[in-house]
Amino acid sequence: MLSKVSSRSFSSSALARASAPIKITSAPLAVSPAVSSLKVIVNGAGSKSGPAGLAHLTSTFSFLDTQSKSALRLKRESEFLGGAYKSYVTRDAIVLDATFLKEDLPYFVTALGSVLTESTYKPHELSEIVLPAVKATYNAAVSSASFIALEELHALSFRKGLGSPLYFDGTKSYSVEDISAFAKSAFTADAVEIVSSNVTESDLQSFIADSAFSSLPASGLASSAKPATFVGAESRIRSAGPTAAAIGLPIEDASTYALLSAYLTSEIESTLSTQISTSIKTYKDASLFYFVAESSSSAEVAAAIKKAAAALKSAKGLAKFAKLAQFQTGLTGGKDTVSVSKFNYVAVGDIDALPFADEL
Amino acid sequence: MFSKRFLSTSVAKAKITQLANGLTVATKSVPSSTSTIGLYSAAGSRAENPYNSGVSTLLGSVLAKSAYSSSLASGVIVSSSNSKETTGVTFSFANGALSDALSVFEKTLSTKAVESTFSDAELIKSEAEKAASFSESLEEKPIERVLEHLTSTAFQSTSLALPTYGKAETVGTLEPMDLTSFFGKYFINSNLALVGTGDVDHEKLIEFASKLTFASGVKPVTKPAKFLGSEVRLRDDTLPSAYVAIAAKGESVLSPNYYVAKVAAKVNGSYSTASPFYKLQGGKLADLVSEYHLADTFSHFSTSYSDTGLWGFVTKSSNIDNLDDLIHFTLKDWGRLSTSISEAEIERAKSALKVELLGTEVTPLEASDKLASDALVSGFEASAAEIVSRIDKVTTSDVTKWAQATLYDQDIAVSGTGQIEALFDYNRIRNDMSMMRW
Repeated sequence: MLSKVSSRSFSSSALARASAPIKITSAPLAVSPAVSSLKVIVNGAGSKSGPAGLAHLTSTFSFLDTQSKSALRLKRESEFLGGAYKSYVTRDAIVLDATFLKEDLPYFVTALGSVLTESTYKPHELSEIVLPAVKATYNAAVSSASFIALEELHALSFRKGLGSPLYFDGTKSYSVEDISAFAKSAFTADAVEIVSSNVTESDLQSFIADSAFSSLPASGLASSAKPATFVGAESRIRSAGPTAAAIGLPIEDASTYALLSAYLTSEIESTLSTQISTSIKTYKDASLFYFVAESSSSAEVAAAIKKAAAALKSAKGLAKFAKLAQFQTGLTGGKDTVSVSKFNYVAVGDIDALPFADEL
Repeated sequence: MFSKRFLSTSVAKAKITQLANGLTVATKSVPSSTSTIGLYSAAGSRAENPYNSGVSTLLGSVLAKSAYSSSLASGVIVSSSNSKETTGVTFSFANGALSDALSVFEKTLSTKAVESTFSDAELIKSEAEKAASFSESLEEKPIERVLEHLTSTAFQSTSLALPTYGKAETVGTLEPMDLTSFFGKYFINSNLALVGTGDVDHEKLIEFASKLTFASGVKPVTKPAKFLGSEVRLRDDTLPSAYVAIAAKGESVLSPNYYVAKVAAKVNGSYSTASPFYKLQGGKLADLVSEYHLADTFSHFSTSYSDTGLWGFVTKSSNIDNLDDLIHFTLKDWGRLSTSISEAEIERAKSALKVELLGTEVTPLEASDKLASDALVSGFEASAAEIVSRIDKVTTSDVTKWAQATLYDQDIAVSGTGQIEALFDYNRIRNDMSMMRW
């Protein structure tokens, strides 16, 4: 049938092997022993890097035509072998994720390596496959008022970089040359990290050495400095549909804010009509604490956000919630009190019913 | 260090023990930073009747709510879960905090605690209102709606016909008495499983279980459900698309053809135009559907209950004028399972099924619901090796034989909502279950 040996035939040249070794880590086995998974995380290729939306387009180009294999052939071969793959974008990285039967490791190492090194970025793929798919992702995401609120909270807190939109929103227009150039600069050996699950590590090492991964160029994007952060901003977005409000701020002391979010979880419960979500978004170079409430009733959102803002200004007795914080975030420790005078605030939906930042 | 330990011990097989008093204890190691324990009864919506529909959902949510707020600070999240055949109250916690969870368990589910919770008429009333609006909110989701009504019409006037989360008009009116009598009848040792997933020691859980004092009695019997070819149409032209589900009688959990039916459902699998790869899929039906844009999504399923099942598909199409083509070509493709399905298609389906069943990451909470249903309904949970070997054994002729007996010229249940003007009448659709020529 499909040869697993021949699929490794386009191995790297001796020259390429000289490049930096790829970082490999193993994750706990989250699935059954018959199945393996590989996550290829390309750090610095996420939506915080490059112009807004470009990373999302680049990510969606993954697993399409490469120099050695068409997207159709890859899809049909993977279906036979029993493999599923996807690519998604985070603020920090593009993540290629493949799950497959244990014996097909070499095939998928090769496939993942090809995505990074020899994708062809054809114009017809951009218009026929990538743009409709990113549009579907974007539309599904922005149907949630909470998502819009959190995106805006990122924009207020970081402005650029982490503040860029996660997905391609159609405000800009990119050519395949732009995408190809971004991929070329971002897909480098020191940016790539492979997380494997249920894989024999020595096998993986040797398959990677024999695959296109080893021809990735060595120098990557310059390591990013700590991003500038901003507090005290407010944004109000009038829109139809459910109403959401979010408060949050860039933070350093994650443990204390884990306690605060545990405290808010117990103080302000989700109800059937109002969904509360509070946690910490942890990125490579910054963290963001957030509290967001969403409901079809704008009055309920207003009440929840006022309560949360009051708690943020002076929260005491947080140590009590250490166990809940550990359950939610895995973090321990932290201070017993929090007092924040300046934070960022976003209102989305029926904003007439929501307070202004200085009324909180 | 954390990861190495899990890798070296590999994924443990579920351990299931039945105590002398009839109570089942089941544990399974799931790699995660959190764990879950839960008490499950083998009584979900199937144990209800039209007059107390929703009582199992309400019972779970009342018990969970009674302890939710007070146990948050101890890092234990109390929640409830429901299916047609199980009701559970679960306690999730960070690994290592088992003793906290066990103490919340006792505070929530001891005889005394349950009695006092069930005497709190106010709590029950407010939870009943919530349950009623939750049930209504499910009816607002078109895919959930057609699937619930599909089951309902396929097994009409049997225990499977009642909606999983209850009928809104009934559950809103339930009273403390309803809960007490349901609890007394179905929360008895022989009908209960204490389940632990994540990092929970089996022996410790057995020790804890042996101290529990639920009533004893004979395990209640559920009357078998009978499939009836029928249809239900909830036409609603205000919805943006047409939503249709069609199914024939499928396989039960313990059926020897359980995996044959699962493989057959994977032959055409699922399809969604939101995926960048939807035009590249290998299935013959997916090819047709994308070529002529007959549907936005479809998904084939083989759903199994303790005594019966449903085999079919659910679809959403914004191309409402060509809905008849979509249904015709789908059912015609089901016909190929009985006549001319190729070996390659079956091999592809088997691979897809393996990766789906074994490659999906689950949280301890999700694993808990599944383990409980396996322990209570079939008495065991198949290990990964068993699943692989049973799927490997399925041959093309097994699928053909199964399809000839189960699908070919068999009655179907049809359920539709949205803009289903072009959904043909029952007999036209039923005729597509056989062919004048192959």
